[in-house]
Amino acid sequence: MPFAQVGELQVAEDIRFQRREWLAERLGWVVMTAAVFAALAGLVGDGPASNAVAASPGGRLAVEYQRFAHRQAPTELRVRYGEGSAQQGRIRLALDSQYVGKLKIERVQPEPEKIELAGGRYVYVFPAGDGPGQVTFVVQMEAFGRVAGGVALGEERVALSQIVYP
Amino acid sequence: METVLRTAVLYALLLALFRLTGKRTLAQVTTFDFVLLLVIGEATQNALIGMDYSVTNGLIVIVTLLVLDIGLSLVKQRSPTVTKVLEGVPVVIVDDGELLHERMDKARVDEDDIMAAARQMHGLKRLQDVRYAVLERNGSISIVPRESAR
Repeated sequence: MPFAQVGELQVAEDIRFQRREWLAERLGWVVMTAAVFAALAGLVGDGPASNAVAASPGGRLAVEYQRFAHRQAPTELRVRYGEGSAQQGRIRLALDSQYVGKLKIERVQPEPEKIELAGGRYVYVFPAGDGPGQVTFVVQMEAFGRVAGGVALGEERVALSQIVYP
Repeated sequence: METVLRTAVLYALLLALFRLTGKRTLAQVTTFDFVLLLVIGEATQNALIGMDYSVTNGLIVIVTLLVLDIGLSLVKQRSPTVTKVLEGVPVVIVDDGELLHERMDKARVDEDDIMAAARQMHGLKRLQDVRYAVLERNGSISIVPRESAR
């Protein structure tokens, strides 16, 4: 590296470069601070901006989920259904199989009675009465980027769109 | 494959983040800096290893890091520009006895830091005894004393 002469001192100083570095440093601090606030707001994980609720047009089915999730970390889908959703004492929730393929279902609460494959969907069957209820799926995302999916209850369908960070 | 990519991405990110944090941050390790480093190490570890705790995976991470390091050192040897970008440049903060306050502020260095370096390296007693002070690439301050101070 060429030396600059500062007084009697031979030193590889490059004050123009140094000034640009200081500027970049300050910009970096701003970006880092912004990242912390984005994380607090829930733009890169859980937080207010991440909480989302999608409801079916009929209003019988609603899914609470995280808009921004992390890969290989647990996240929840809370599926709520309204009164009179059960047919023959069963609730049948269908998850798109292409969505299920991008995640791992860690736990379903309550435990389903059985899981059926029907028309390219995973159908979770729960014994249920006539009242409203909630089913929670604890899932772990395996893919990253934009992950779209859907949950259906009979004719009513809710579409989900999540951003999964690596 | 994923391990190598993970490692490379984290290496680059950490490099960029520490460069942007600035020289002063890691040169003089205080107790708190030490704790900070430990915690950063912990956070990095999980991101590097993922959920594969095998010896093979650990070795892939280590070898990838070493190869990246060797590779960068080879590039740095050939390109002064890359060296500047990756390691920064030294900056003169005392020029012939004159304190360059604007540079000191920008670099977050004060008289105390200069005097500390002057005492440690040369046993100097007064700021006037410092002829040149340079904030080096690694964040340490090197001192050239006045001839009369010896």
